[in-house]
Amino acid sequence: MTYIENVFLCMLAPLLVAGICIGRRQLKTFVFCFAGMGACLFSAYLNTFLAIWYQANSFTATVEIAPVVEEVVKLLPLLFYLLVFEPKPARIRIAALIVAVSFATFENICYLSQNGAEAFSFILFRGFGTGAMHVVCGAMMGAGLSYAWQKPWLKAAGICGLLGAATTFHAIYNLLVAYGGAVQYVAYAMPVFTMIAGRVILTVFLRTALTTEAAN
Amino acid sequence: MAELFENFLQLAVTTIGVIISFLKYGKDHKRIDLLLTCFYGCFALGALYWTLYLFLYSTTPQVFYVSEFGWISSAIFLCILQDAMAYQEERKMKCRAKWLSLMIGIPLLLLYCTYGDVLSNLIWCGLMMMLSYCSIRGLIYARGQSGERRRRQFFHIAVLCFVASEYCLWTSGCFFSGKSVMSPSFWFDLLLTASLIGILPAARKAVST
Repeated sequence: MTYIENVFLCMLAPLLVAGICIGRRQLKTFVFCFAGMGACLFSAYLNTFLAIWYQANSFTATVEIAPVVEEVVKLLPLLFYLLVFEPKPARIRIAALIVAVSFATFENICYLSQNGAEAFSFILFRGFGTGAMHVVCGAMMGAGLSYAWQKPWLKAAGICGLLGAATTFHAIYNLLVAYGGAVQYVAYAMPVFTMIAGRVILTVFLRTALTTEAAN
Repeated sequence: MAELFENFLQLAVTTIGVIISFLKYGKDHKRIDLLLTCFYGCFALGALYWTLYLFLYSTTPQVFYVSEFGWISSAIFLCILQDAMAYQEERKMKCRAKWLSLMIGIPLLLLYCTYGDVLSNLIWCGLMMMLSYCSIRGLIYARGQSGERRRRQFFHIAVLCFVASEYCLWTSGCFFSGKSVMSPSFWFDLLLTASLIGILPAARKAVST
């Protein structure tokens, strides 16, 4: 049994102290860290609850329930930030990334405390795979929301679309990892390649398009 | 095997749709192309998950239909695309035929609710009714026009075909459980793929000057 709330408290305490010491201007960053880790904690509870509710086995919980729950819960602090503070697009991207990174970090810590850290190569693959997957989903959400939030006609549908895309991407990753064998290594490589491809597309194809639209 | 082939085909079609509309958006920077990219992209992601699940595990998801998130998103983007293409006069136009969408949609919704999950069916049928409502209105409006405005009828016909094939697929799913070539579901799924192919050229034709 993993006492996930104890791990959460242990992680939260130094961040909280640092957040208070560092002053109000940088406090936002820490708040998003708490939100990301809190989202991970909450989604762990929700996953367990839904798995019991649907009488799902561990495979079904991993492949079908967890992606939906995790992506929805990860979106909640971001939505709150967007609706209450109406931030600038650049800030939305950063907020989404911090939430995603802290979510992934907390998830990795819980995984390590449950399974140990002996197998270096596996941990390395998992770190780059799962960690990067959450970051890719966060980047996707951040970039998409920062664009969609400027256009009233795209707000609601944009959120639905981005949530759908992030959930499906996450679910595909989990599906491939759960299959094992060589397929799981494809899954571990998938987020990094997606990140590189996304970067290239953004720089080569979309820069002009986005600049033109922003000018209009 | 037949189901897998059909899913691969749908995945291929939507992926091609994403690539073409994305390249068009990169070139022309039109909102229509962006919405088409989102529509095909969401559909392709849903299809990719479903196909991979079927390919790797020889079964379909049992608890949560993750793919539905992608597919519902794609239908929402299609609704916005319709709205973005509608003229002011078209929105205000009065015609009785558009209520056909509700007359067909509501009984089908009740039928689906007796076979499956209420919330999912409400969302799906709501979206399909919205799509067909706007399409019928748009089609009647476009047919009364000439020139560029008349060309939009093809887009509305393509959307109506998409809605009709979805309804046929779901209705056949209520009565026939098989997934083989002999099952009507297979052929209606193929029809859906064909209607997905049709939406891209029809939308391009509608906005070309």
